[in-house]
Amino acid sequence: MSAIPHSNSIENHNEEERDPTKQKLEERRDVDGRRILLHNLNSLRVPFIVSSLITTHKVKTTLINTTKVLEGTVILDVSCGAGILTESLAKLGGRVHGIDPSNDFISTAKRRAQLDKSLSNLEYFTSTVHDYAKKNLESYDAVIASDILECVAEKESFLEACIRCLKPEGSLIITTFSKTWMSWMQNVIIGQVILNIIPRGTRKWEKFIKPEEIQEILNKHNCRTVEIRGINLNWMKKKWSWTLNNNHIYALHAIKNR
Amino acid sequence: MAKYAMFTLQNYLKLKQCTKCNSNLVRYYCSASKQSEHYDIVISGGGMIGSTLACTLGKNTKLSNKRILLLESGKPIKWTAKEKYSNRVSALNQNTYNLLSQIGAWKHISAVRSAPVQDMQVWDAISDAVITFNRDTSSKVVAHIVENGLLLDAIAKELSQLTNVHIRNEVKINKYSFPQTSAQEVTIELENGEVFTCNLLLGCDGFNSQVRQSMGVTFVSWKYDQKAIVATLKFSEPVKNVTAWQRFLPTGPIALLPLSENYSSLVWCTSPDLADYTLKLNEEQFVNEVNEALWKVYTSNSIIEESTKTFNKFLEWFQLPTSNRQQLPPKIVEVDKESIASFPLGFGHATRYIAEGVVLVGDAAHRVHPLAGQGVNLGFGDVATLNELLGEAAYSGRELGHISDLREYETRRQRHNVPTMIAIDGLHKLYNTDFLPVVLLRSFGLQFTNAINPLKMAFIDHAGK
Repeated sequence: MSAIPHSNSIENHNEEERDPTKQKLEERRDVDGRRILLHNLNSLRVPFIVSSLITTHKVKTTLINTTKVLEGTVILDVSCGAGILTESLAKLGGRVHGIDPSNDFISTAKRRAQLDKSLSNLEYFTSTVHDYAKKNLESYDAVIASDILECVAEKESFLEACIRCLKPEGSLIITTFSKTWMSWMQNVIIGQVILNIIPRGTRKWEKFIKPEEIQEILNKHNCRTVEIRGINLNWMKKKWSWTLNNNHIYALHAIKNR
Repeated sequence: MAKYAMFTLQNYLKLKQCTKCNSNLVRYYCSASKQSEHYDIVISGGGMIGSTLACTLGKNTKLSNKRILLLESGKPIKWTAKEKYSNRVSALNQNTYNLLSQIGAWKHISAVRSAPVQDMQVWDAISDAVITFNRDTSSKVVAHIVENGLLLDAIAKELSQLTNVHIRNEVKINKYSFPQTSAQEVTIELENGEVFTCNLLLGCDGFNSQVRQSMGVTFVSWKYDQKAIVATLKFSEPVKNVTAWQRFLPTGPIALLPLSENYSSLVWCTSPDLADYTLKLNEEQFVNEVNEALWKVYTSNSIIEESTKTFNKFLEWFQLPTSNRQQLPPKIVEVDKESIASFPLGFGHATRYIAEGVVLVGDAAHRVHPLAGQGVNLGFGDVATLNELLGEAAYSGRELGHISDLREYETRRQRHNVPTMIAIDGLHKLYNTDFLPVVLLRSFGLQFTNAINPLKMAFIDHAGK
């Protein structure tokens, strides 16, 4: 599967991922496979999501720094893929729902989740965000769209659907690729052409988007952007780190106005 | 269909046996093996490092849902403060002090006794070159001298309050089985037939580590041709005892660590023959030997004497501090006969600290010469790093003992431990000779380091990490 697994359309699914029979128990700790990039990204995006929910007072202060920090929050992971991020969030105690338009992804994610019965607070649904938003209006404290926006053609309608799922004062958290030459160099040339860590052709530079552009769309749909943080990837070590530079990959946190 | 029902029934019965297992993931495995109890973390070895690790992890709020088991071969420690000091003491650096304060153990230590080291004087018996570390150099206390028994007792007090840490004493481990793939678990078989499984095994079982031997990692080791003699010494009169003294003799370093106004702890590394001879002496003769080791003037070579003097003048010319203000250690009058003991010295380093589901901590991973008093501090450094990484991993929703976190632990610790160990071994080799050019070089080195404050600070900082 891709290092970046999500996709809003079936065309982006990777071969490995499409065959759920290949999913074995070992995958619970599969880190040397291609998933390592996403697993490692969790060490940045999970704390980012947690701290976003802390700053917006969605988390009980007594729970901060405990393993149940997200208890009491309801979170939607849009295009959750095989649930790498979704599961991690569920482990921190939140009620987490993962949706993906791909049945294969969802059945894989469900099978993974079944291996750990403590994850009873985790649910998966096969759905596009558009359909899902119709039935789940203003239901979530946080909506996560991690590494999916760069695959979506209709960004505005996608984001709008995400925002509709959010409660007022809820947090929309996005991680995606910026549309700069630097991002093209890193994510297309190095990541896909040279190293092939991201399967070739799954991330097209034309679909990348700059943070300002997202901000503009979000403003239009009644959201205020409160934080944008650059992310850097060390391709050799496959480790992620925060950076002041938003030109490559970035995380964005926006809050839905009342 | 009937067959299927039978199968599930059998499985169900097996599962029933494992009701103690909390996680369902675990039950899955338990069903395959004989009756066993599952813990998230098993710590093998309840010495200073093992019990501190158990306490630190047990108190980490980010790991509060983890069940921890501490296995120790010895009996529970019963430590009562006697007037007499124990002969086994440790010099704890600032970071170790911080760790112990953080887990609440330090308050039990300070309620009983510990001695701060504010000054340190190290000098060369042959050339009389001196280096001093004191409050002028570093505002902090250089180290705290604490009896090992007291430290263990303080940790045990805190451990007894933790509900998520279970302790089993007097256990002998028969066999460790490590996972071949990441999905399996570590199995620990005791000699009495009990079986434990865990997601993460932490080997804190000392330099003869059974965990390390079962892992089959390469352990680079050698014995030093030296033995350490320890004892509790009494001074002729009460002194303001805040200085750690160390003199490098051609046979090895002798060190006095402060315990109280009247007492200091001796750590004397010397050749095995001399050690065996000294151990047979009566108290009076023993004291004489110690005093001689501290005071004896070696027939100084005129070349060395002139060279160090000239080098001092050279430093003075640059208005740098020179080392002719050498202080003298207090005179010893008595030794506690029962406190005299000796142990062999060695060096060892495991090339890998980790494997799938296993981590080596403390002496199990590394063993050094006691000349810098760093051995136990390296171990406490391992504890702090492992605690931080495991906590962060859990707080990011990663499973316990994810290999990438274990690798990070190994990288961070080896990056600190290996240079420290090489430096200590280098110092040992440097001072274990009276070959003239080496003596000259090391004397200049000591004088120069003493003169350049930032350099001195760099040493203290590294040792404090």
